[in-house]
Amino acid sequence: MNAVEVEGLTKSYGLLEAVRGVSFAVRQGEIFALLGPNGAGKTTTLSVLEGYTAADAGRILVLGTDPAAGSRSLRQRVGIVLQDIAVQPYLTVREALTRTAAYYPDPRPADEVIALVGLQPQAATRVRRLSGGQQRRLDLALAVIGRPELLFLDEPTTGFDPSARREAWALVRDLRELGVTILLTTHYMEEAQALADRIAVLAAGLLVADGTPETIGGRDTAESVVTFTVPEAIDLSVVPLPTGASDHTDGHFTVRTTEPVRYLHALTGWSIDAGIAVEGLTVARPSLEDVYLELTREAP
Amino acid sequence: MTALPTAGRKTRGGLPLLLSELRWEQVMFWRNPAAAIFTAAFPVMFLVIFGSLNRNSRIGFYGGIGADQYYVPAIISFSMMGACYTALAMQLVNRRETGILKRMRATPMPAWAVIAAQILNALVVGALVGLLVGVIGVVFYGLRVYPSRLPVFVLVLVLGGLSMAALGVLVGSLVPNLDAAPGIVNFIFFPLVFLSGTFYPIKASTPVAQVMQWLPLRPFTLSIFRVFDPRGGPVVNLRDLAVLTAWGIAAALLAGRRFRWEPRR
Repeated sequence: MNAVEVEGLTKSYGLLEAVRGVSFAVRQGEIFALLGPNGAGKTTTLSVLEGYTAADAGRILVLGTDPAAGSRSLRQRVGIVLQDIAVQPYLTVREALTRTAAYYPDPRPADEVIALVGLQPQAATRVRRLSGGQQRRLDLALAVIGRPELLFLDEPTTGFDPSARREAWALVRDLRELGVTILLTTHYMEEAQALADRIAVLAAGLLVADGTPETIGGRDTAESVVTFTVPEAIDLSVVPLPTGASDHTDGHFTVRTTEPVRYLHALTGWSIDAGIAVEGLTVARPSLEDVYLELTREAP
Repeated sequence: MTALPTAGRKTRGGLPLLLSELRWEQVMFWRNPAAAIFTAAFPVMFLVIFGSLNRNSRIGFYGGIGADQYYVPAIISFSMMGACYTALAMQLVNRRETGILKRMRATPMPAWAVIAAQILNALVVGALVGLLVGVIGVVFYGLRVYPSRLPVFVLVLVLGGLSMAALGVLVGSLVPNLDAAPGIVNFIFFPLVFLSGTFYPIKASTPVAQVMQWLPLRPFTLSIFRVFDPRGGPVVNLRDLAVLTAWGIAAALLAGRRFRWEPRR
């Protein structure tokens, strides 16, 4: 069974069509990233899954139940970290966790969760005295104290510096090791690439691609770009080229091919046999960033 | 697939959960200096101001009773209004706009318990401040108390407190944002406090009293005063209690429709 199933999710706010028929599934135990620029519909989608927002249309199942019903048993099994930090300011870290633990049937011990998010030195500190990053870690601790099977993280590292982001990523991976299924939204490509087992790209309310970080957007089958330089003196027509797009100026070649291995074999074989030097040889596959920018640019 | 958590230990339900929440609400309330000082120190300050200004004066239209015997009960009712109306409304707006209510909604805590714990907390705060005012009244202002009327006092205090809390939740639900909260909450409250005779006695036959007797504050203040009224008239005025209850029910019904968990941004 999938942890989350979404089919044809549609949601409008007045004239704004925030989400336009989005479908995807999150498998149990994986980290799934909803990637997209601001305003793509990530938070709206998550809000529907969290039960805060009713969808206009679509079939939505979270752990096998409809989140719009707002059942208590579902809320016992799902942890939520919202975009904005929202923790009672006048309790200490340990008090806030002890209080929240009482809402759940089988909570993790407060100290275990404090250690998980690395807040041991602040355990007796009141929340209002914590830094922004520490408050976010407490927010995450509060979301996992109830031993959730599924965790929703809405832009968990927005505003983090690079080292804080890496710590947060390690924490999210730790949670997956504990068996938690994680659905997160992000507008950072490197975050999706570093963390996610699978990615869905949203743009302007539409799901424009989904797959693993390696295959998304046809990244694995897309054309590779081979560049190299040959001496200007030679007859350039003897340089082997694949059928399709390639061009050259003054001996600098840029070749696009879907079969880079085969082409490189032909090119380097020719170079050795003919005794003509091929210099500055590079092979590049499209980066996730290229794919992402391509996907989100074309969205209507 | 993991076993359903409900198969294991059960969550605390109903009363134990509510009482544990009440304890946390108390901790949070008294640690918040702004709320604690406003709610506890204001009534004491007004008691001292009005008590000192009217030292040894008598109220002719209440059969010449000492002014303190009116002011102390009136300020007890004001304590309850401050805790259950003003502080609760501000707290709700604050928690809604900072996302704390939305966050609570994501936990398995039932919605009714989230609200009930805050109302219960407001009642406890109001009762504690009212008790402080009463003790100061007995010690420094010669307030006479009538132990046999204690059950009526508790009834009126709880009924009035619940009514004020319903109004607090309603007004809190109508306030659009954090910046507007103090203005709206107090702009409704303070004129009514003055016109209802909570800060100085108003003769029942005056036009102001004729109007105010149908609004919730005057019936509440007078109902508390009757418990301490030395003239020995009826301790309970059913019409006042009915008006108070009606406002509470109407406010609760309307609040149920207007209440929002999420920020109004």
